[in-house]
Amino acid sequence: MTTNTIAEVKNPILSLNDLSIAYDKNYAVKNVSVEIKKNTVTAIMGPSGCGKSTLLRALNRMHELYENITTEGEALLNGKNIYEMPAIKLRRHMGMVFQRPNPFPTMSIYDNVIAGYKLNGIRTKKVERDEIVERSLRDVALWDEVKDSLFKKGTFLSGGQQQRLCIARALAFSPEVILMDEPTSALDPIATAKIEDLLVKLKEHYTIVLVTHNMSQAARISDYSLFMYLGELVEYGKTKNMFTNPIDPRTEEYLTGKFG
Amino acid sequence: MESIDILKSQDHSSGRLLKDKLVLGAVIVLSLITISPIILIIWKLVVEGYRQISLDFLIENTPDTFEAMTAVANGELIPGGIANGIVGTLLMVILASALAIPIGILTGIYLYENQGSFMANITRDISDILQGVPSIVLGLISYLWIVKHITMGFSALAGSVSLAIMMLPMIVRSTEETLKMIPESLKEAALALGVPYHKVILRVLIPTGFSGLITGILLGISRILGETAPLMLTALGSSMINLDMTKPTSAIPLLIWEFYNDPNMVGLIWSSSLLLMAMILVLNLVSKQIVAKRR
Amino acid sequence: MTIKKDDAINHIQADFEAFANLVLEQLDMMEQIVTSGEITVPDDVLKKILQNEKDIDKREVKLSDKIVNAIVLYKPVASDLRWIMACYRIILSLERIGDIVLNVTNFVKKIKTPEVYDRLKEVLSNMTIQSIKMVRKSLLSYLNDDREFAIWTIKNDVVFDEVNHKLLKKILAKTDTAESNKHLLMSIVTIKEMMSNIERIADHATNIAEAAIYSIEGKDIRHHKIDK
Repeated sequence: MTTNTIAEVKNPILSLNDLSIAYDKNYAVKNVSVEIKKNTVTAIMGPSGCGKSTLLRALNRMHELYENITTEGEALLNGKNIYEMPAIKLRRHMGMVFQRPNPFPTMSIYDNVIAGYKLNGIRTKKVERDEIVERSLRDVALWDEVKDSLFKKGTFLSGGQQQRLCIARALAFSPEVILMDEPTSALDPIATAKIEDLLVKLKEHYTIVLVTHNMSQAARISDYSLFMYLGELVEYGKTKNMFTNPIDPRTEEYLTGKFG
Repeated sequence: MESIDILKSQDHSSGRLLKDKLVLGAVIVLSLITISPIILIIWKLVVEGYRQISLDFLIENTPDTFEAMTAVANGELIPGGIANGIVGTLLMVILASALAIPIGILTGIYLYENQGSFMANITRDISDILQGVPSIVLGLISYLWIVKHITMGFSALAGSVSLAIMMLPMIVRSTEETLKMIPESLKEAALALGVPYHKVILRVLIPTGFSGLITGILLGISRILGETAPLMLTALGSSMINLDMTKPTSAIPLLIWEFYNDPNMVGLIWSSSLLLMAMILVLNLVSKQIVAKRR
Repeated sequence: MTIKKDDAINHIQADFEAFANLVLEQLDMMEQIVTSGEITVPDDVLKKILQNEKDIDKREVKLSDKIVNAIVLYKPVASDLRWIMACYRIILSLERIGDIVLNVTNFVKKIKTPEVYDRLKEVLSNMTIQSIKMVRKSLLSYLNDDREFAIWTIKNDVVFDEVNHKLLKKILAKTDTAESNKHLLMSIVTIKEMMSNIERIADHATNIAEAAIYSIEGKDIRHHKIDK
């Protein structure tokens, strides 16, 4: 029973209808239905094992890497069912950033940003490539810091810079949605703060869905919050309302630290 | 200062220092014992063989036994060289690599991809067993397959096949282990960019694990450089340079064996061995350089 | 993380209950004074009231401090946050109630006409008893999460205001004096009310200033003498 405290979203960018995901008949995500609004930051939170990472990965079909996964229900990106299009095509519209910064170690910074195009063998003119790299690096406030060392390997960058590089790499395709799996939990507080500021700016052009186990982070930067528990979507609403006045008692217990 | 006196009277540190020194001494002595054979070998080879090493040595073919007998009788350096052996070794190593590297890497990738599967586990076990098979047995197998049925006679190909089978388990192992060491997050990052799986392996995982793969290959090569037994049943040997893989060919270790058995040519064993050792040393240094550069 | 938070909240609750009881004690003594109808306040009672008032002021500052600490350290959310914010608001009101008790006690001492006072004793007693009941019920509604008591208190206030206003008019009507005097009395009373309200504006301005000092310097200077 989901408590949904917001009115109907017009033209939601992402729409999940009764989405369920099971590993070997064990349901990790049960009947999740929710509509995500465009150009917002939506946080998915909940105690460990509640299914939030599984749900996130189901959105760009990365969960299909695991064997014996069954998916029921549907997920629509701008009205199109993501399970009925080629996964490779889907991933150009849904970028993903992971917990540990993972720039490709054999590639330079420049090549890392453009990696999506290069690895897929997409032909681009040099002018286009330069433009994409500069735009993406500017979008993540990294351009000024690295513009003179674009052809050095990315590994000499600090953790926070590497993570921003990974975000730039995801932005290179100009995806509609960026999925983030605990993007700052491996970073120090200052790097975390920089990335949080970045996300608030990015939502102007992108829609961000982020999984976080840090309630304060969800409170700081998200517009909407989803609370998941034991695979169910318990409550969904505007963050400020959920944090002051949660409706479901399970949400209340989680926020006041009774579990998780 | 009562407290300091108490500490002093309970000071066993001098006893401990002595123990430390004894153990250090023992470790040094044992290490020296361990490395002494190599040093002795290299010393002997250099002393006995350096005189023979010259440009001719590398370019000319083996002399026949009469030339050698004459030279020894006259107290001269044995004429000729081991060019046929050098070329033969290179030919067979290249052929063996061409056979073993693709199969080995692909098998390694297969094992990496299917960690738990029954088939993969069997394959891995067989590969490990293969590593322990005596090289002469592998020579026999190659004799049966190639010498008897394909080239109808001793040949470089047969030699290469037996060497390839020897290299294979090493390459398979190092490929699998290298790939396993690559953090999962790189694979995820590439997949999240919409890269199809085979491209992820080819264009992300393999390049990232390049130094590991090369190390495995070079180790495999340095292993087969000195193998003699299988070659005796397959390549047989030749007094001339031979580039036809369907015909018998020489190899440096084969020549060393031949020299050893011919009382006139015994003098050549040192220089040949020295050359072989030098090749192996260079190979090891090169592989270390590759690993260092990639860092 | 939540053990410390829960401990902090429990401590605040314990301190709050002690604080509230102190204020209730003041109210009980005020009830005693008013229902007795005397215009003299026994010395020991007066002493106790003054002592309690000092205690109340001190505790109020300490409690506010504890609340601010709990918020900054433990970032309470949801019901924890609402409870703590409500606690803060209630403390301010309780402190003001304490001030009122002191004021009323001082007013009693200033009455020059004991007979008039005696006649109005019933009215005043009823008002006092009723308002103290409202305070008790509202505090219980907070401490026990009892919605019914809270609603009763809020509804009662409306009735309270009306009834008391009418009563005052009735009493003036019954007073044995000329009609013009009655108008005069009524006007004086009304003007006095105006003055009290205007004076409260100044009080609130002072509160704002004290809050500004807290914001600037982190010092709570309420109930302190200002030297600079």
